[in-house]
Amino acid sequence: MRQWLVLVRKEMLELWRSRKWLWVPLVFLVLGAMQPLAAYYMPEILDTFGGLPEGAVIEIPPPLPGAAVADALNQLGTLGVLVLALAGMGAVATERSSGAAAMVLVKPVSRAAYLLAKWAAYNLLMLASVAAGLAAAAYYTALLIGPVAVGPVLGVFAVFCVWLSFLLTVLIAAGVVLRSAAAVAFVTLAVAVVLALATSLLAGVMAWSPARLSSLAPGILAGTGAPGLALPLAVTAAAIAALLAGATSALRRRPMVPG
Amino acid sequence: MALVEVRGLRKTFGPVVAVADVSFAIEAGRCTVLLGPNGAGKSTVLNMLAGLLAPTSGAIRFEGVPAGADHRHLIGYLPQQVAPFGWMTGFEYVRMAGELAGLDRGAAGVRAEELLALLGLEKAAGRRTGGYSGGMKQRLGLCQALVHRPRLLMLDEPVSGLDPVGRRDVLELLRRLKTGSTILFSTHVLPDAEELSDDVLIIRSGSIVVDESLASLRARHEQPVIEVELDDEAGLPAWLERLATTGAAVERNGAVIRCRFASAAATHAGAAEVYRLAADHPGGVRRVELGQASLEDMFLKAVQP
Repeated sequence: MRQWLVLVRKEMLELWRSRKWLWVPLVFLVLGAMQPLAAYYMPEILDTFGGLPEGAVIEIPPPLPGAAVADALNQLGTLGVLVLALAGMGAVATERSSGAAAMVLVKPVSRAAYLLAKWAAYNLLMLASVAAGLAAAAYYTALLIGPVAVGPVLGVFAVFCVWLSFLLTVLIAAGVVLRSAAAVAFVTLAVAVVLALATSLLAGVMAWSPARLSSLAPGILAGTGAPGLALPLAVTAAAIAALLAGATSALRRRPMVPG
Repeated sequence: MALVEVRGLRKTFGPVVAVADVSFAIEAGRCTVLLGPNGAGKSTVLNMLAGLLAPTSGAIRFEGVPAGADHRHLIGYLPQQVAPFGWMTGFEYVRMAGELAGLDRGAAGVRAEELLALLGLEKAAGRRTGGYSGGMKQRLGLCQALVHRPRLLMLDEPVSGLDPVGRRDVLELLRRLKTGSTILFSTHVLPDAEELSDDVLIIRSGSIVVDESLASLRARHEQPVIEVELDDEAGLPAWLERLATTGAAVERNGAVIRCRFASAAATHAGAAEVYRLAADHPGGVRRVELGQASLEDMFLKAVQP
């Protein structure tokens, strides 16, 4: 536990010194703000760039507040995941190949503490970033489109973060198995895309899929509820625990020697 | 019981046998060298002792630690490649190492400052380690290894990648550290081993071939020898014949002629004759030296398959 805290502090310092604490939340913030802004200014944007014939009347109904926030969340789920994967792809792989991980693990530090410290640090970064993105989305939606209920936004924040936390766990676990940081990012993004696609195409069979945590968001925001949310939540939590346990035991078996 | 006992240690990577069967013991307070050519398995043995590699079979026991329990708190380890986090300062790195080894933050900080000063890094302590030179990284690596006052200090090739000055510095440091601590270090360079160690382990293709104290190796393998280094080889064959009449076994290695006598007494008696002959050499002589043959012959014999 003590060692874990020391390592968490190290990870936080690293995220700070590499400016990830700055640019990752900033990207999320911009992504979150862009959606309601774009929806609001769409007529003007089309007017300016659309090259429509003189006198054409553009009538675009403004989206419902819930839908605007859901669109923003969708952006966070694609571009945001990409940014997180790029930020965290070297977390384990780079330290392993440079030998820095070996120098930590010759100290009486458990493999679990080593991985869980990274997991916790990246999850904190993710939580802060999603909070920034959603807050920006909700703020501009409330400002430009219409009132946003706080409850559903908080609910969607919690559910969406569980989905991203799952992807971060894949990211950390892949770093244990793969030597190249790029491969780690690729595997994580592939898991996200394949799960999301399969979940939307095979909705019936994939009711348990972690990706449903993301696809249920519009319903939660629209206030129509999220039927069957408990199953994917439970599956995702179990998958996170299993991945972490598997990664820890893989790290134990893997030679921690550079080269 | 010895501080460390290693029995039947074996490590294979697929079909490759890195360490075949290694057993040895390290007594507290001794400095032991693990000597062997590149690829003999030195690093593999050290990595297994450090807990970075799981042995395929065999046992590592530390004094006072139950079998199978974690012994990493007893070890300070300097890996072959010191890879500190480049974004951390030297001080932060050593303090973190101390905290990871169980010191509290305050004590680790005090100890880190003390060690950084001892190793001459006090000026660089506040700078990021990404800008450190190879020698500085090596010294930083020593700081992190020593921070928790380990019972056993393990150093993997501590002076191989250093320039002569850095090498001198680190050897000097190790000499200072030697008193009162138990050290196990690996090298492929015999002079470094001779300079520092009490006990010698020679490893060849994954097996220990020599396990003996340096003193007893010296007693068995060292011989008095007279070396003559020639300036010019003019008239050498005739001169060598005259040299052989002194009763010495003469051996030529380029411009260096080695004369070995059967015993120390015979060397004494023969020395005067060899000196006289050296003065007579038509090509001139650069150097004549009476000394002890090093362990090099023994080492070469031990490590050659």
